[in-house]
Amino acid sequence: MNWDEIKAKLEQILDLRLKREVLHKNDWFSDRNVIEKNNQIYFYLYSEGNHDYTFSLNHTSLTPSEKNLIEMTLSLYRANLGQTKSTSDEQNSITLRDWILNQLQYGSNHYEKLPEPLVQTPQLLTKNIPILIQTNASEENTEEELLNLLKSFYGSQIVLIPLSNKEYVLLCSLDLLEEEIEEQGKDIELEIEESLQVFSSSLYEMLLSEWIGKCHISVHYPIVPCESVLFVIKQLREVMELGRKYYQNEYIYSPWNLQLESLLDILPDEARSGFIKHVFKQVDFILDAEMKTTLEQFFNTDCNVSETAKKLFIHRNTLIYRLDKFKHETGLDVRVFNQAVLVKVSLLLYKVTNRS
Amino acid sequence: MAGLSLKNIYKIYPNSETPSVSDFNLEIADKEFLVLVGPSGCGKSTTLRMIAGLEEISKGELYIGDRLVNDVAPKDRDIAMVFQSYALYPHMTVYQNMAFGLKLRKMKKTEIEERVREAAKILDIEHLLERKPKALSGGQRQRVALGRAIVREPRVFLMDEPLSNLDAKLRVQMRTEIGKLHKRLETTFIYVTHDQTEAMTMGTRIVIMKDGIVQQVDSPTQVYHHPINMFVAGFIGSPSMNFVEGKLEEKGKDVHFTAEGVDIVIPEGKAKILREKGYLLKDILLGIRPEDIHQEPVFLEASPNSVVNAHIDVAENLGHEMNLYLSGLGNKIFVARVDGRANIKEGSNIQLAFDMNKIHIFDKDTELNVFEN
Repeated sequence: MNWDEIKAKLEQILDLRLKREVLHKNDWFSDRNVIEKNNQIYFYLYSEGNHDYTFSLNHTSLTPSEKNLIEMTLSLYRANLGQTKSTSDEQNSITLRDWILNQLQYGSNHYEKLPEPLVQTPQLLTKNIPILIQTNASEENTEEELLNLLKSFYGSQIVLIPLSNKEYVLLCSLDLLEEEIEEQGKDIELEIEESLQVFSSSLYEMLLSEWIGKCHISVHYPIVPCESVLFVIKQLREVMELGRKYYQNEYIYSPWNLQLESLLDILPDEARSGFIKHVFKQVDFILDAEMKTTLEQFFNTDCNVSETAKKLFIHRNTLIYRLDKFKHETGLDVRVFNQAVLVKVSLLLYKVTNRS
Repeated sequence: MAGLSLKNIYKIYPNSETPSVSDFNLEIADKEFLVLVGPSGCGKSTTLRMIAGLEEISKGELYIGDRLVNDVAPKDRDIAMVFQSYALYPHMTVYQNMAFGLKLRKMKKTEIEERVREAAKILDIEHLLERKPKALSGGQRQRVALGRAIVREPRVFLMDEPLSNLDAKLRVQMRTEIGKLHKRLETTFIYVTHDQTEAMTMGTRIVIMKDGIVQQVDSPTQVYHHPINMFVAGFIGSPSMNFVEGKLEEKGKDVHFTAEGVDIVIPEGKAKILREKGYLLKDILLGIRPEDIHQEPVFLEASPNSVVNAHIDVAENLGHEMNLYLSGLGNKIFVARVDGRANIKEGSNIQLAFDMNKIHIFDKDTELNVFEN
């Protein structure tokens, strides 16, 4: 049965004429399903875009019992529709996840396109922002909770694919971002990285406050999921792994912020340790916690001596003394660009070789 | 509203040689405005993140009210957080940003509206409710972030350097606003900053941290006038406290402090403590704040035993006061803060007198304040 059939049935039983009317979306139906306005009574059916769809009729031609009967009938039908929809959404999501997991595990071609029967939502045919969410939470039902939360946050413009109860792929329609960028009169190609950064930061902050707390997210450039969802998941996982490996205290990772790390990660272990040994000579002796913090802060403040001293709350002369000591022991002066590059690279490599 | 109790809290990151936070013990009273302050990497943000539930507690117990919350998710801790980044939700209006958390909690629409309007009124952003974040200035965004926290009416507010992205003028203004907010909401605030001025002006109590360890917890006045060690003494106050390394010697019935260019008499009360604690003839550090060094002739006449001669390298006139950067006292630059109207010439010599009742003596090895331990 559809809305027209229901309309016909109600008209037949109650012997009256219902009109299908479209209203511009307003807050009228946010906490009720019936409104009375200008001698007309409107029964809410559903919303689409910026419009509310209704049945309407003249207020005076209806008794209170008839009004209740119509309202109840429409509510029941709506509930039934919702249930059918969510069951089928759930089924689609499971099928999609199974195909992805299967391809990731056994498939040899990461450029494999989504098979047509799996493209159940038009969103998979348009550009989306791909995001990977990882959490350590072991709680049950996080998937449903997360999906509801994201739907409340972004509306219906998302697809959530749970890869496990600790790893989720989120596809957000690019419309969410384009609207923002266009409103600011900026070029999406030029602004994309900055906009994705803001987009992922707000998602992260929302998840922190409203979900299970600490999580890590990686974000990538927009893709059309039906063409490259597998490939982008692989890339998102790589970015996540790289980010978590090099930056334990950070939580949002993107490929454009991990370019150097991604390059260094290609190096074999022997090459890494060889490089560190060559640069630092006696690593453990030189790189105590204090020296590590000092150098990291120095690089974070773009090699600015005064700023670094201020941040570390040490006297400028103390910082200069530490940098001189480092120079004396390694022969490298981090105030000189080329030598600073060597030390920066070695510090990054040291982080990962030390752990393995 | 609730107090908090942190008992023997540790944070140890995997593969890290030293704990990021070590044996943190603190009782935070209901409605208190507590400020965690310290240099970069001292563990203040990590402590706040543990309270928020964003970092696991490696060891120890955390109570909010009477409830042990070590394993409670952030959203169930009844706290609200405001971060440095204050990442507003870019696709939502200011109203929706503030209402989002309440909507999730299935609050009635009328109540949501009431709370949002009330918070907007407090923060003076009622006229911005229909705007999107991109159309707001930095200060306005910060207010919205605060509003998002306020509407939740949490038991505890947690703020991590919320003003550091604002320019200096706005920061001062927002500092006052947050102070007022605390008085108005009467809720517990825990505030992290690296800026000692923020800590001094906002906190009812300050926790000074260094290398993951709490150095001192006390009111702003106490930490300023009675610092427990050299780190606290140097960290709180701008310009910082001056330190000069020297020796204590008994000359006649007086105890003198001598260093390069300095020979001053320690007041009897303080000398007695130093004698009793065995500091005579020992190397120690004398600390004095810039405002406790005077150039007024009346003060010089009244304190003949604490007069020193120095060379003025730089005189920085701020109008109401003047910072003199001096050499010839020990081997470090000394700073004295004098009246802005004083007739001072850069490059000349000057006679100054220390206010000896305000001096601090620090043990050279332990760096502890001899008078406070």
